Amino acid sequence: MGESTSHWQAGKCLQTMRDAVTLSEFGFRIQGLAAHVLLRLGARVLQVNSQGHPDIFAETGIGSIRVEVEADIHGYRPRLLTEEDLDGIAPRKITDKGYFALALCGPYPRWLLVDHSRLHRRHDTPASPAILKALSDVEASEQWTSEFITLLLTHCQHLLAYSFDLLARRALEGRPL
Amino acid sequence: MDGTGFRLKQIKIEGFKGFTSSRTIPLNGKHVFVLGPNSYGKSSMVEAIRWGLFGSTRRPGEVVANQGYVGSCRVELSLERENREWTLKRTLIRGVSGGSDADIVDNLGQSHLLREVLPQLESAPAGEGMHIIYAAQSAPLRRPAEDVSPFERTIYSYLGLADVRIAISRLDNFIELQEATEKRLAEKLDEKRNEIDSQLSLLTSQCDQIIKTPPWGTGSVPTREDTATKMGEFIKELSAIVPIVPTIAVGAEINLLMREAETFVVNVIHSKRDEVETTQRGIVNKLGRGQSLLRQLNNVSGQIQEVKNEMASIEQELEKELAGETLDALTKTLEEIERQVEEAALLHDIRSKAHTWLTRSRNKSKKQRCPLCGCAPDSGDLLAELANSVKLCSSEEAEIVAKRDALKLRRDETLRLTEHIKKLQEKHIAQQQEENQAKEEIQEFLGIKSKQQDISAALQQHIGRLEEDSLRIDKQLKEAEGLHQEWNRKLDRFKDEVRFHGLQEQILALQKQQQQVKQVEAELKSLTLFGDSVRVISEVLQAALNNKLKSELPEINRKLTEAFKTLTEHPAYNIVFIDETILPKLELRVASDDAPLPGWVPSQILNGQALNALELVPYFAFSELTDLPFEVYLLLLDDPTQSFDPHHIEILVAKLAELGKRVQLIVASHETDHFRRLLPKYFVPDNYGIIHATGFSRQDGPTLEIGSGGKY
Repeated sequence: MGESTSHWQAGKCLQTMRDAVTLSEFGFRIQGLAAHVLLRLGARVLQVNSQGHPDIFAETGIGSIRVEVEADIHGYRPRLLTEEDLDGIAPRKITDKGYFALALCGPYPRWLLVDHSRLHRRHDTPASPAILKALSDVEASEQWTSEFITLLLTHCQHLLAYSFDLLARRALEGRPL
Repeated sequence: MDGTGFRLKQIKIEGFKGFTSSRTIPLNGKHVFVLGPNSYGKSSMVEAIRWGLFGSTRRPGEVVANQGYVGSCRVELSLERENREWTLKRTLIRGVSGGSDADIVDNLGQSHLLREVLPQLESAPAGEGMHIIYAAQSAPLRRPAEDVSPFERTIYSYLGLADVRIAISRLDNFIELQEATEKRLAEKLDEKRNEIDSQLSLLTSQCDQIIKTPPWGTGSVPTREDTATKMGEFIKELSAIVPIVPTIAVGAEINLLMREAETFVVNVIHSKRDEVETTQRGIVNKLGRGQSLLRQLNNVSGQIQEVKNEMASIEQELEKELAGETLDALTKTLEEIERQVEEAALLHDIRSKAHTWLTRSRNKSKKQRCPLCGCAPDSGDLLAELANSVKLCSSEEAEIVAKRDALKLRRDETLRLTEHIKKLQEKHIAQQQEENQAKEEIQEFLGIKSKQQDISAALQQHIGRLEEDSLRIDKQLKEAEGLHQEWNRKLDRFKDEVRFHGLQEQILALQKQQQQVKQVEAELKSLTLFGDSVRVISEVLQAALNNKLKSELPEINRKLTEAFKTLTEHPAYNIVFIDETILPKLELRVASDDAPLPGWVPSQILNGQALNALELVPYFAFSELTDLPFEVYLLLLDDPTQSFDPHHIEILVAKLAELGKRVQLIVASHETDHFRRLLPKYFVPDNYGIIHATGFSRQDGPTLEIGSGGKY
């Protein structure tokens, strides 16, 4: 099955983690892993917030990046972003970026990164994954998916050992997994 | 009255609300005041004009047809412009909620399309706030006093921005439709992707299961061609075993090859099994038959031997019994002894009787003579002699009888033995016949004709050979069974391989579907990009419109304030304005000079009369927007003076008179006295008419009288 084999394998790794932890903890871990994806993409992670907005605040060489992370287990639940969600990722400067990052976890992992500019006109309407995909930044989504799959496959054996706290702490310390 | 719009000349009402049979009410293009108590049908008349123009009801599901009237529900409005008369006919379509047919004909009876004659009316909403302005009487239908959104089109027309507002409205409609399309498409995409992902997940898991114990062994994953080649070879191998010619050519599709291989395996197995089992059955049958014949022969031979033995034993016994005599001699001797026994018995009898006679005669006086010889024996000697003789005779007789009995026993035994031997001989003969028959059957079974052979031995030898054959066939069967199992295992492996290829094909097909889904996703992406662009355009236009509106609001607010002040003379609130902070929403606020901003929501602070007056304010304020090129400019007011005191009623009538210079007024009111008093004061007599509603009945509807007293 060529390229998709790794996706499926990564999906199994993720499913193992999903089976082992509560839904809430799973969501937090996805957030923690998202911070490490950013780390792998060369960003400096400044905040990983378990409460409040944004979920992740990082610094790239160009500007800051704010990310609101959500994990979707079943893949097809429409999302309704609140004003607070959107305000949290709103760029403060022209060089800033703000993303709503949705991790579609099954049957294999994919990230959808939707730029704040595409969302703020639609915040009052629930958006299904297909809409979010249509609104998403293709390049950023692919980059995140690729790094995420590498991360999962590399650490599949130890994935269960990475709690949200551990993931967040290491991301903030700039120590990749 | 100014303007070049249509004027309402006459109204014909049938079966509408309180009206029953057809009624024609002349209006003559004048202002008309319908006066009378409540519930006398005034509102029905005003509402009939509105319905006649717009067709739609004021709220969904509203019933406009008179429920007690069986005829049509229709309204005909005669409209006049530049001495040309048009009749707008509207008829309710029964059974269709709120639906109606409209037709407009000119004075020559020529039908026209409504949109050609009254294009604005055709496109206008049915409510208030347009060139047809209307105040509803019944409270539940009244808009909140602060809400001036129904006048939006009037305002934007005045500002020359009607097209922009329409454009925004259309863009908003487009966005709404586009969102619905996006949503529909997205739902389908999500559903399809979900379906594909689920199937892919399942198929991948099934492939993984096969790969765990690969049916093709340790080598690399075979291609379909590899599998087809292997299956072709397998079929070839099988076709060498049974005389069946393969029907599928080498290189055929693997599913066809699979079916062919399955058929071959089944055929070969059945063919071989049938053949061996038929042979085995033949051998078993023969073996059974041979064994049965052998048992039968042995049985008969055994019986013959038993009979022979028994005969020999009995013959010995007979010989012993005869003791060298013959049966005839023994019979003669027995006859002789029988005679002797008879004689002895006779003699004994005689002597006994003689003794008895002599004993009896001795006791008599006269001597008796011997009855045989006539002698006169000495009775004493004779008696003694006779007694001895009887005694002797008894002893001899007993001896002879014993001899006879013994001889008789011998003779009877000899006879029995002879008879037994005879029966055994008969039995022996029958057995020999049976034995011969069995031997003939065996000869036939063995297929031999010679009687010289030891038939039993030959049969045993033959059975031995059959048993060997049976064992050999059993072995062959077991070997064949092993081979069949091997073929079936091979077949199962091929099945798994074929299934694997099938799964791979399905996965490929799903991946193709994924590509198609991606294409649709790309289209959805374009759609969302286009939608976002439209949103931006709409937002920019709306912002521009709001800016323009804000710049014009002071003048509009001045007119609103002036109308409010005139109508209410309110002591506390003397400012009315549209709240620009919530544009494009159009809502009024009231304020006072000492507290001009942010203003109050009128319904929260004004009393009933002021609120009623405020409701009328937009009509008066916007009627001054003189450059509106309206086709029909009517002001329909249904009981506008509710909660008004006489002073304010007069103010309203005065204001109406002013308004009446530009607009045809149709006003219904229960304040009959006030209006009758005030109308002549403020209106030119020729410009208006009064219709008195003087009665109402369910059957006949309202009783309407023209002011001069004539009945309609």
